[in-house]
Amino acid sequence: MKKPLMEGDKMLRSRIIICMILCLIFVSSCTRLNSGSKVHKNDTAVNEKPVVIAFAHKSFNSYFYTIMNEAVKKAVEERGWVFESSVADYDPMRQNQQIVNFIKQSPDAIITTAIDSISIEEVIHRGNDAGIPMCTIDTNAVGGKLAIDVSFDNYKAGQMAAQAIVAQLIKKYGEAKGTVFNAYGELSSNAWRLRKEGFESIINKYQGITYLAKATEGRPELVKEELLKTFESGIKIDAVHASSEHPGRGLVEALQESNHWVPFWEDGHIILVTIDAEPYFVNLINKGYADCAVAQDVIAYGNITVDLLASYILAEKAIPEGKYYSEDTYWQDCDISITDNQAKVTIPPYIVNADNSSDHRHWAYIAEKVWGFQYNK
Amino acid sequence: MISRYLGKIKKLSLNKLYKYSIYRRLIWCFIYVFVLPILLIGGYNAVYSFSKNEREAKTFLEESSAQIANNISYYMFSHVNLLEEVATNPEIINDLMIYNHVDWNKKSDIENHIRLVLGSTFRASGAINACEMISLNNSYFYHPSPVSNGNFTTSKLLSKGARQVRMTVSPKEVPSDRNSYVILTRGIYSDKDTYTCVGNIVAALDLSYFNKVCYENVTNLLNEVMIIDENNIIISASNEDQVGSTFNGDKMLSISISKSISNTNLTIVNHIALQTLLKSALIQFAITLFTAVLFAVLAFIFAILFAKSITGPINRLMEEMKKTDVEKFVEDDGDDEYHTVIEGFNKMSRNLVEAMKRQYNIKLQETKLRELRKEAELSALQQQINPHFLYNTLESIYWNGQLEGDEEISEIVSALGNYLRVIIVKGREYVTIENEVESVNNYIFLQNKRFGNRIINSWDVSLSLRHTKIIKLAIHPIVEDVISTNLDDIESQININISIVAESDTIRVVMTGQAVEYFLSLADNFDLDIRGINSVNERLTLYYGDAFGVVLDNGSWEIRVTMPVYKDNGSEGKK
Repeated sequence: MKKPLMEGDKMLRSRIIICMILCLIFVSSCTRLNSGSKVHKNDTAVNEKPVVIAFAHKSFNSYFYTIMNEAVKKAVEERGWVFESSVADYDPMRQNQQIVNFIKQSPDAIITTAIDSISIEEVIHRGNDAGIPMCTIDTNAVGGKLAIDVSFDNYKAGQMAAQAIVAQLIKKYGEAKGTVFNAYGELSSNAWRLRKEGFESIINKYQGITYLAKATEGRPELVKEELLKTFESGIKIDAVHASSEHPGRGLVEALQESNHWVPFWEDGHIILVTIDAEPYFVNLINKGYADCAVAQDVIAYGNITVDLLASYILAEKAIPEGKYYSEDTYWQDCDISITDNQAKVTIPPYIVNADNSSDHRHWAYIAEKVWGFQYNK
Repeated sequence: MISRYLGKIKKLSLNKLYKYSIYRRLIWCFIYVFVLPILLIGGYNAVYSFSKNEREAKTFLEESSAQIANNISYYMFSHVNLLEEVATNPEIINDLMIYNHVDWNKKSDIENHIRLVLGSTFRASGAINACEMISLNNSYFYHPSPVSNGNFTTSKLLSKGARQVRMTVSPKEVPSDRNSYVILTRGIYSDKDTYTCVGNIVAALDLSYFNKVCYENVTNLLNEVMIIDENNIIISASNEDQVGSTFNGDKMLSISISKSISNTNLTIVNHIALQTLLKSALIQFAITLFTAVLFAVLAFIFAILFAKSITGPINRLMEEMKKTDVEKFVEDDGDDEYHTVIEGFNKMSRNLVEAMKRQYNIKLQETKLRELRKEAELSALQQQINPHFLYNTLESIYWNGQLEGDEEISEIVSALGNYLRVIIVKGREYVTIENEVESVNNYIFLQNKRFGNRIINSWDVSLSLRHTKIIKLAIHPIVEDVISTNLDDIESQININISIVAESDTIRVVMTGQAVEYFLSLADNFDLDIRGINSVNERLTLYYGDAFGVVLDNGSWEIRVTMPVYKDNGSEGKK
């Protein structure tokens, strides 16, 4: 039979238990002293290979392409990835070599703005063979397998520019009539060709409109020269248009030099409509010298491409066909079409005019006011 | 004087100690002996370790700070040189001057040229996050992105007057990037002689190198390295959380070394928190403390065991001593001093018990004697209801016998009277041997008259014993038992011999003869009447103890009676 515990036995047992607990606490506190070391935050990331995205750019020789480069760079770096870039200065061979160099470094994806859609096909194939997702933005390749191709609806942009001019002519004359000057770029450029075609598909509908199309190779000095010549020939021009704003600066200088540089509320104002909507031209819209610009959201190229790479291509998922939503943009959504496992995303054009020119979602605002890129006239 | 105080202290200490049990004293003694030395040694080691660590830390911080300062200084020097190289490049100066005056083709060439120069100059470094050149005509050239807000009048980074590279740590003036950079700024001048400013170059140097230097110079997570600018703003630190805060060295509990970095307005602060230094000392002390605790536990267990071994027997003795009755003696199997003490205690207890028993017996005997005395006195009173009447009657019979000439009746009556006088005497417990002998003789005379002189007796008594007093009726009842038995069974003569001798203070009476032998031969017979013998024996042992009494010796066929001589000094020889 168990003996009942006496008071002394209880006290002795309590003392022993207290001593044991003190020992345990002490031992645990000792181990805690050693374990209280500082751990550096980056330790876990040291051995992980970062995602590397290579961007083979065609040129920095315009504000538009500078911002395009910055947009891709920011989109990549915002995800903690590594951005590698090259610029070919409109030299297709140089660009191909740069892409070949990138392929040797085995980046996780290569993005390029093709200078020559045909000659770039060879390196696209090489990239395909190396298993590297090849992506094109702005200008694509005619061959090879492109994981993502983000382009702009240039034809529609041309149409929208023409419609805007027609609307202004009707506003001015009560009907669609007058003379429209179009300084189009090199037709070897797919984008400029489509814009011209789109523009003419609208303009040519109106019999009252005299359409003057001048080949300017996308060079502002030629644009200026052609417009000045036209003015000098005595033709009264009601509206001028350039297929992009880089050469469009030639229109501005020609108007200024020929004394046609007046805001829309004054007589003698010549309707000015361009495509791209760079900060300089948005500023002219605000001042009343330009009527509107068809915006090509250059920042969206980088954002859409990198977003699809992160969400689908690098995650080894198929890009779904349908709408692509981008809530931070003015255009809100665009279309994704899938052909032979190649995703083609088309950025929609939209009009920037006096009514919406101060909207902070325009890429011009972001590039100039948020990113700090000043525009050289 | 000192010894007096020491004595007082000793007395006070001892008095204080006496208030605690031996058990507690022993336990604390053990713990102090085990733990205190370890704690003292541990404390000394911890202090020594701390001071040594402090010295080594200072040396380490100085060397480390100098190395970091040199590295950063060289790094900054190389980048400042790169900026100087660009800012003084004649082609770049020319580009800036003519950019606004050339056509778009030439502008494109200038933009390419500047971009190539900036790229080739800064790309190898890898530390330039962004660089921009701005002409006074507001032409902008980025590599690859802006740093300033592009406006000379509102920018803090652009200056028309800086002829040398200026350095500051601040964010870019670009809303999309609020990180801090080392901003290097320099004016670009067209002519060394006229110092006509044509533009500005601004470069944002990534702080990653500074962070790397700070982090890599942290040794074993002991020290912290930070770089502060002229406003005491921490621009880089091994602890990233501190970046951007204001350095306040006064509030830091640390060993700190500050060193200015040449070619910059930066200062390197290298410090080790006292807590870190204390940590190793504390670990050492903690190990000692742990050992002390371990030893304390062991000491506690040993103390309990030893204290129990010492105080256990005492406690058992105390428990036994608290009891009013000694039920059993303390059991102890040990062989130490306590065993001797316990044995002594047991012996003392045993003696005490025996003494108590003896005392009890004596009291019991006294009580019995008192009762016997009362009975005897009562009996005597009953017999002395009227002894004079009895004596007078016997005297009348005696004289009638004389008158009638019957001498025999006179003799019988005279003997009976003498016999009764000896027996029935009130208040006399002791008689002389002569009286006792006379009493026996009277009895034998009377029996012989009755049974025709069949009893023959002889006495062997020294005359010197005539007046020696013995207890009354010490011989007579025995003789009566012997003679009565013989008279009942034997019809021939009965012989009995009685000798009385004195040995020291003891009287020894020995009865022998044919009557005695016959009596002793019947001693085992339960019907034998030995009431007289029993009475004598009982009275003698009651009076004088077991050493005295009547012995019926079948071996030597004698009856022995021993008793002390009565000394008339009040004690009567009683024990």
